[in-house]
Amino acid sequence: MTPGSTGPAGPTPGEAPDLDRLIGDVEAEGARRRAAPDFPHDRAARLGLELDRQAPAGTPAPDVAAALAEAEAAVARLVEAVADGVPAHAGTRGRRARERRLEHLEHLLAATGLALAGAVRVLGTELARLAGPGTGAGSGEAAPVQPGGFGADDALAAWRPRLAEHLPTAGRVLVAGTGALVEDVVGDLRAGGVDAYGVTTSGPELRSGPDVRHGTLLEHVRAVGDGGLGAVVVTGVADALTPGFFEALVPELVRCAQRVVVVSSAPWWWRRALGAPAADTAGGRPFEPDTWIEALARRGLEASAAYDGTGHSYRVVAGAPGP
Amino acid sequence: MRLGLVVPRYGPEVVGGTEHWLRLLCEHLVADRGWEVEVFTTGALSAATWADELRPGTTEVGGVTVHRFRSRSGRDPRSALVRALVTPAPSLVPGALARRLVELAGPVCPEVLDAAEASTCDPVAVTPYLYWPAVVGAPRLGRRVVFHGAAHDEPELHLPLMAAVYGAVGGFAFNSFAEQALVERCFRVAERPAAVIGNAVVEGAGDPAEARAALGLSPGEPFVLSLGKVERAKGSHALAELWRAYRARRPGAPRLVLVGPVHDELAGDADVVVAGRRPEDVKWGALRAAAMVVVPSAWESFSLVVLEAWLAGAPVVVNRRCEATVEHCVRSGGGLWFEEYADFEALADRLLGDPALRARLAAAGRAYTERTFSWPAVLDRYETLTERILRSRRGAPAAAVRGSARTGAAAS
Repeated sequence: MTPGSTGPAGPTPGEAPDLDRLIGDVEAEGARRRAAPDFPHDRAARLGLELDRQAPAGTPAPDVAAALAEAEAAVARLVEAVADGVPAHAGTRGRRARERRLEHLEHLLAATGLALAGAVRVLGTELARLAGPGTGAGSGEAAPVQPGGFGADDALAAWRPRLAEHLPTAGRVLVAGTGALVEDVVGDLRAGGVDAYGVTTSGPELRSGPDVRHGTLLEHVRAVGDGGLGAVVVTGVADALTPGFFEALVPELVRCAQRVVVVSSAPWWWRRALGAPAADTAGGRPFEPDTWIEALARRGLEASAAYDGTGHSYRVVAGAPGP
Repeated sequence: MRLGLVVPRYGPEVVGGTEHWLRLLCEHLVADRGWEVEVFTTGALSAATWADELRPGTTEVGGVTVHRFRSRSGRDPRSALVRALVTPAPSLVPGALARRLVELAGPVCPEVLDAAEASTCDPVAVTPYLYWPAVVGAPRLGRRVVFHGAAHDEPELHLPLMAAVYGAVGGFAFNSFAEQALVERCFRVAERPAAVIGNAVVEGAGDPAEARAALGLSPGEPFVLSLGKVERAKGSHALAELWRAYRARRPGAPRLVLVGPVHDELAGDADVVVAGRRPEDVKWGALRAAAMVVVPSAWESFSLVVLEAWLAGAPVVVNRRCEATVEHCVRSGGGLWFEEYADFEALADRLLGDPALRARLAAAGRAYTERTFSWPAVLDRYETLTERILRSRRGAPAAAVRGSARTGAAAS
């Protein structure tokens, strides 16, 4: 294509540019040109190398080839050790003993290999999720379903007047949610002297007002230092739990905060408000308060739950056991 | 508010993105918000040597009080050797070797830190993360620090001693969300007050016709512009080669014009004009006249040029390998990116052949720049961040608040 000729269709005049579409068009066109017989592959390859040379290399990756070679050498040493234990002139019984030891070794290595394969699969799943579209894609957080009359902020709104009751006066308090109300709640708490800040998946990324940043809970708490928070208030995302996400989240909450407060819709109300078809097919759901209490207790926190006056939502408060 | 700034070099003579931007920030905080600002720095102008070229003492620059001290040592040429040594596995480098690297890279100037610590400034901005004043100063000044790390994903960031640097400070002023994400991937500091501040950008004056004449171009000649230091590491040489390859296949395509100081020699030819450093009015005239602006560097932590291009009405093309410039494009809808020659060719064909698309991209970029990077918007974000740092520190455990002017605690 030459300058001035018509390329892939772009946005019509007056529209904001659709960057995804434009980049998609450019990449498709680039692929078509690479396949053309007159494409200067040598020159393009040299340019690619130069561009790569002048770019951040990132964190050095582990040397997989060296690790494999080391593992092979270690196994060879093990086999040698087994052989050393059985003299070459040993009879049938000795050879059988050596065979059994090698079989045992083989089973051990196979089990290790299976464990590694499982680890690789988990990594692959996580990478696929990171590459996938949508809110919370990188954190395993399901986007809360919000059909008619049921919002991500409903439970938080119910508990808003009493939220400060169980929050510590020292240390930062993180309010993590999925709705716009997080910003107001952070404002309330700060006005009340609590050093609160928020993380929510809604709203703009650059803000000058209350200290609320755009992001997902799990991704954020993974980047918080041990005991770095006075408390964390989990809301919104508590209505969209999956077992895997829950198992990943709870240890991180306990690690980074001295106190954990969960504000969630009651499962029965969530199901009724959504309707069975939407609830059954939702990517995540609120858990019973007992599930939170049990999971937090397993990690050494004492927890208790209370429902709001309507029974539509509950709050779990967990902290270090008293003297 | 009384802000301190610890920085290796400072002043209008200093050419450098972060230092230039911080000087403007300080001057605007004084002029527009009534802050008092004191700078603690060396007499260096060049980051290549850190040689003391300016006299020690206290002066006033643009309403800002500047204290300059002599360095004990500047940049030792052996630092390049040590850096090469630690590059393959920086996260495994022992503390003593890492500290040696930081000392060799310089500038070593304990008086800067003594003065900042003894001052009544609170908070104290410290920048950039990888040089001696920040590596030693951030842990010493502790939670008083608003850290302008200007981090890149480079070996120094992965040295184990950097955990103590990033873990010590009161809060973070980031250049981009990409920088924030990088830092939070490397260090567990996400609970600290932090904001993406970026730089403020103001449109300058400059006439397209006069700029063409000054650059030796024909009246009305279309051209593609690249603005900034001409350096191999900034991608200038790769871009020149990309454009030569493009012109070999598109003989009628416009020429590429590189405007900026030439740090690594690059010869011009029929395809590429190397115009060297030019005055501001020529720069702005060139930005207005250019069909598009290419930013080939993969090492930008913010990139003023991208935003300036949009203010001047030019669409931008950036390197896919640079998170910060791609971030600007994604957030604004004002620019596109390439990864290799085939994409670059398709993209150049598309943009040069579609003036309406170029105009729409530039308009989207301009709206984003005005909304996000005007001085009032940037100063608001900075004020909010510093207030959060001060407030957050009041609730922090006493042991964490080291070197505080407010508490008078002694620094280690």
